[in-house]
Amino acid sequence: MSRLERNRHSGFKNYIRNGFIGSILAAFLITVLSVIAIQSIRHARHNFLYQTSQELFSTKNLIYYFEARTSSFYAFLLTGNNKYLNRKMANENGFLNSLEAIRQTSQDSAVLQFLEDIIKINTEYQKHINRAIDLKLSQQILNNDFDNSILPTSQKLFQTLKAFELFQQQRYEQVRQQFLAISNRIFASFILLAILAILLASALGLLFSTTVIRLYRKSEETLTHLRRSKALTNSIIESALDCIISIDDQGRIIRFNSAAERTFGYSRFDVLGRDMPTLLIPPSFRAMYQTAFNKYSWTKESLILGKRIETIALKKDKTKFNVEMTITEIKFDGQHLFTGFLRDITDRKKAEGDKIKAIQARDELVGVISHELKNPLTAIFTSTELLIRAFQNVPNRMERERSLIERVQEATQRMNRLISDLLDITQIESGHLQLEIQENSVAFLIESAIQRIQPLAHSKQIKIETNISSDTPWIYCDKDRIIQVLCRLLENSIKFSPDQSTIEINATSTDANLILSVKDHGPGIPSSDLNKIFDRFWQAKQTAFKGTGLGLPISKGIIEAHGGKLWVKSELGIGTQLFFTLKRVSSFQTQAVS
Amino acid sequence: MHCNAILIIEDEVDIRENLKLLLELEGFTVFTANNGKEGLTKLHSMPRPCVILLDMLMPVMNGKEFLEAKGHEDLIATIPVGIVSGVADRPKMIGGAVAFIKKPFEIEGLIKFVKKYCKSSLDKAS
Repeated sequence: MSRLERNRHSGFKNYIRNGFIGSILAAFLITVLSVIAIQSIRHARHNFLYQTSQELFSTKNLIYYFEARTSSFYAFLLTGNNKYLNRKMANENGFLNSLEAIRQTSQDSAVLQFLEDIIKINTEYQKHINRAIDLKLSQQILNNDFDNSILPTSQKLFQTLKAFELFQQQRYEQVRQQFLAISNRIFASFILLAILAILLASALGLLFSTTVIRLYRKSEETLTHLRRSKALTNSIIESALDCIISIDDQGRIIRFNSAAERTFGYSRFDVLGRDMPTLLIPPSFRAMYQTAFNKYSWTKESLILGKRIETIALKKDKTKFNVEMTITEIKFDGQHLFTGFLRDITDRKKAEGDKIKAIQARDELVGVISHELKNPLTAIFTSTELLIRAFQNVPNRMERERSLIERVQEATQRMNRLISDLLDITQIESGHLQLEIQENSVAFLIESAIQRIQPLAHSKQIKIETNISSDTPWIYCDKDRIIQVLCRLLENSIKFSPDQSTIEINATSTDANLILSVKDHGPGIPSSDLNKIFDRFWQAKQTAFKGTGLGLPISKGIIEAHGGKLWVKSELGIGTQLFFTLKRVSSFQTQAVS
Repeated sequence: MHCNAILIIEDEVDIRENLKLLLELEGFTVFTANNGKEGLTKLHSMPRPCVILLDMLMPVMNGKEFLEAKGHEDLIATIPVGIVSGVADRPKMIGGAVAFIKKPFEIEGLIKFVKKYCKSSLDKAS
């Protein structure tokens, strides 16, 4: 069961539990209401009906005892048997007891009035009966007077009793109606309450069931959505051109996409659940992998996690190949999983290798050619030098021949310079420029450069001014290379300056750097050309001036190799100023060296 | 002390002979060798030179190997060597090497360097 389904399951469990508790509460409520209703009805029945019915019963007893007594009495009169007399006495007691019972329970004034009447008539009737019994016992003959006295009293008593019974019956009926009304009301209330309780329970049930259904539908939707999204993720992973391989924290493969199948030559059924290193890592790399993996498990430190690295992988047919790989870690179900995204870079590696080889070959060629050119150049140089010296000893000096030789020497120098520049630019571009960094005095460097360039400046009667204060700091640099840069910049300025103008060299220092600049009063550079002046051979293409066209690119390369910057500012008609920065020796160190 | 001898070790015959001529014109006694190995042999059969001018790229024994071999022989280890070469990178200054003179060199500069270590016979005469 997936985590999602478990969640869904527990959600339903909660709802069903809550629903169950709700139902029990509703049942309990209905039970309590029922008990209250039954108790109320019982109470009302006791209060209203029981007492009245007892009275009615006693009233009926009165009539029974009256009749029984009268018949016993007559039976005695006829038979003279004492048995009947006793029976008459018992009935009389019953009659009196019933009367007493009614009197004790009833508080009704009408009833009490009836009782009073009955007792009065009964007392009279009793008197008559007792007299008649005495006469019978004394064997005397009853006279007409007996009938005249006893019968009316008996009839009167009977009628009174009947009236009393009727009254009691009516009263009972009345009370019963009252009780019925009350109990009906209570029952109606109970029914109402029960209906309300049922309605409430139904509403709750409805709410509960709709909630359950809604939740179920929602979870069903979420599940569908998730299934679709999972399917989408799957198809993305499967359609990826990069290999995607996931392993668990034991190093077992748990995911192996189509690209991985194609690249490594394994079917995913061959590799799923199997140990990744033994399948995909070349034997010579396995120990390293294991060490890194173990180290990560213990310390959570990794040099490769989340980074793009290049390494070697192993195919099914045991061939090794270059891959570019990124490994990411995810925590899933409390387990650490690692996913590698790999790409076969054999072709790229080969192309890179070819490119490097091509560049190396080019550099080598330039180096060899330059070097090989230098030997003949040196031979020409020394030869012309010897010739010039030889001419010095010739009487007529042979001026024409001498100037021809000088032209050869000049051309050789230009050629030499071009070769040196080509070597320099090759070194700069390949990043192999060697520098001998030392602490140098700025004044000395500038002085050396000016000294070298002086003949050229002199030829155009250009004055070179230097604005350097005595506290200008020393700088870290390769002396020869910086003199070279200064010469090239000065040469450039002289080349573009009008005759008899001035070139200024300025030095200003910041906290960490020294900024040197060479300023001329030449024609300036159009802003559209400003970023082209550092392109190789750009100047050489501008036919107006001679030069290799490598001076500025080389200067820029040398300054950048020092960690500095070289840039230009120019205004048309005013002039051009070239700046460069170099790291200065701190003031404390300056004091030490000076 | 007799010290105006110079040894030039250079495989390029044009340069070797021109240099020899130039330095002889300056009043030095010049010996030459075709490569490092020949140079080592020459050192034992000639007067002790005050300076050696050495090319780097040569057949049989190149400049670097010569400097290494020279450095191991106490007798000649201290003789100053000026490396005269067209190689782009500055070579290691071992075995008595004191300067790197890039080809093609300025004649005046080279003579100035040699004069630092050698007395010319012309100077002596003057």
